[in-house]
Amino acid sequence: MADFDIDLATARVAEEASRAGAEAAARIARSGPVAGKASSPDSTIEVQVAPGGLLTGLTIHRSALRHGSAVLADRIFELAQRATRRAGDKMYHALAPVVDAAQLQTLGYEPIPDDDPDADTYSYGR
Amino acid sequence: MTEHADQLVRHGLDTTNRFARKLRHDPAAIGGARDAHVALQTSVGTTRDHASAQRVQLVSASSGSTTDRATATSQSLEKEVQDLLDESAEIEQAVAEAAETLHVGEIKNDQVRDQIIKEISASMKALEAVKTIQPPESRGAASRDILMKLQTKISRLTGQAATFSEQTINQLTDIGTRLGGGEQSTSASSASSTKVGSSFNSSNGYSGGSDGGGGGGGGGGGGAVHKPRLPVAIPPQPGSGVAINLPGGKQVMAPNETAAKAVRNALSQLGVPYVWGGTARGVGLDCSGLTMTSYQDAGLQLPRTAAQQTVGAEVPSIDQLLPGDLVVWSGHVAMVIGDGQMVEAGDPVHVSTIRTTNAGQSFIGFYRPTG
Repeated sequence: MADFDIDLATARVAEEASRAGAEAAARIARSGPVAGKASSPDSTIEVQVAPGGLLTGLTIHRSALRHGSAVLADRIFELAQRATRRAGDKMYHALAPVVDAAQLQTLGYEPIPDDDPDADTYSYGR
Repeated sequence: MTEHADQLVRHGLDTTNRFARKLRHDPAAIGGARDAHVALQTSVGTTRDHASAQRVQLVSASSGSTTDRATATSQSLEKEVQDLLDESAEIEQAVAEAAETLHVGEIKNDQVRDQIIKEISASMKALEAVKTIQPPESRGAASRDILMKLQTKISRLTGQAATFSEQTINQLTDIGTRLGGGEQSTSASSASSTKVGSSFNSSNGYSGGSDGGGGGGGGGGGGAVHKPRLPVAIPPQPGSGVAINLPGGKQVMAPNETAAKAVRNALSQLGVPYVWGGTARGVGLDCSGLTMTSYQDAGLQLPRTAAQQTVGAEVPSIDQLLPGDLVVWSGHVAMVIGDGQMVEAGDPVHVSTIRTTNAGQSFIGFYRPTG
C-alpha cells in the first residue's frame, strides 16, 4: 500500500478550496452583493441585513412611531428575522453549486419554500 | 490560505496518522515469512517421510532386538517431527491471520482519514465562499460556525479511528496470545495476582467502607478510561424475556436466556469472599471475576478486567436497565439483577442498590453484553 502523502492531500484541499472561492466570488459578482431586505406592509419600516443577520440598514418613517415603542420594537425584530432568512435564501441559491449543503446549513443558509410567508415573492421568478 | 489548509489537514489527521504508523507493516515481509514457513514445513515433511520409509525398509530387511530398538527410535522421531509440523501449521495460520487483521485495520483507518479530508475540504470551500459576504464584519461569525462544526466532526471521526485501532491491536494481541499457549496475558492473569492477593486485601481500606458495603476493589488496569462506541441497547419487545426469581421473592424479566443465566449464576455466588484477581467461583472472586465467570457459565465470554467489560450494547439510561446489564466504572463492575438492584463483588459478594458512584473511580456506563 502506498504511503499516505500529507503534502499532496494538503495541496489538493487548498487547491479545491481556492477554486471554490473563485467560483463563489464569480457567482456573487454576477448576482451583486447579497443582502436580505424586509419591510412592513405599509412600508413605514425597512430593514436590511447582511447574510448571517448583521444589520446594515434601517429606515423608520415618522408614521411608524405613532404605534408606540413596544410595537415598533416588535416589528423591527420580526422584519430583521425575515430579512435574515431572505439573505440566507439568496446565499443558498448563489452558493449551492459550490459549497456542500451541510456547510450551507451550518452557516444558516437555507432555502425558503415558495409558500412560506417570508418568501421574497417579488424578486424571484421561481 | 494554503497555510490554513496545511494546518487544518495536519492537525485533523494527526490521530489517524499516528494509528497508521502504529499499524504500519511490510506486507512483503509477512508474505515472505509465511512462504519461508511453508518451505520449512515441506522440507521437514520430506524428512519425516524419508525416516518412515527407512524404518519400513529396516523392518523388512532385518529382525532382532536391535532392529526393534531402531524402529522404536525412528517412530518417536517421526512423532516429534509430526508435532513440529502441527505447531508450524499453527504459526503459519496465525501469521496469515495477523496480516489480515492488520490489513483490515489499515483499511478502516484509511476510510476515516478520507472522511476527515473530505470534511476539511468541504469546510475550506465554505470558508472561501464566506469571503464573498458583504460587509466583511459579518464574515467572522460565519467562519467561526464552520470551524466549530468541523472540529466536532473531526473529533467524532478521530474517536472512530481510535476505536478501530484499538480493535485491531486487541485482535493482534489475541492472535499472539493464542499462539503463546492460550494463557491470559496482561497483569490481570490469575498467576500474577495470586502473589499479590493477600497483601492487597489486607491494605484494602475502602472495601466495604463508607458507601454501605459497596465499592469493590480495583479490578485491574488503571490508566486512562476508555469508552467504546457501541450500538444503543433496544428495549425489551413484547413476548420476549426470561423470568428470574430474586432473593426477595420478586420476579423480574431478563432480556434473554443468557442474561437470565448470568444473573442466576451471579446470585449463586452471594457471600463469596472478595479476592483481588480471583476467578474461583465459590472460593474467591473480584468484581470483574464475578461478572466474567457468571456470563462465562451462561455461555458468553467477557474480557477479564472491569474497564474492558464495556461490550455488547450501551444502555442509554438508568431506567432502561434490565437484569444482566453491567454497571462499569474505571476499576469496578457490577451486574444489574432487576428491581433497582445489582450484585457486585465487594467483600463478600452482595446485593446493593444500583448507583453510578464508586469511591474515587470514574463511571464509564451501563452495558448489555448480550447486545
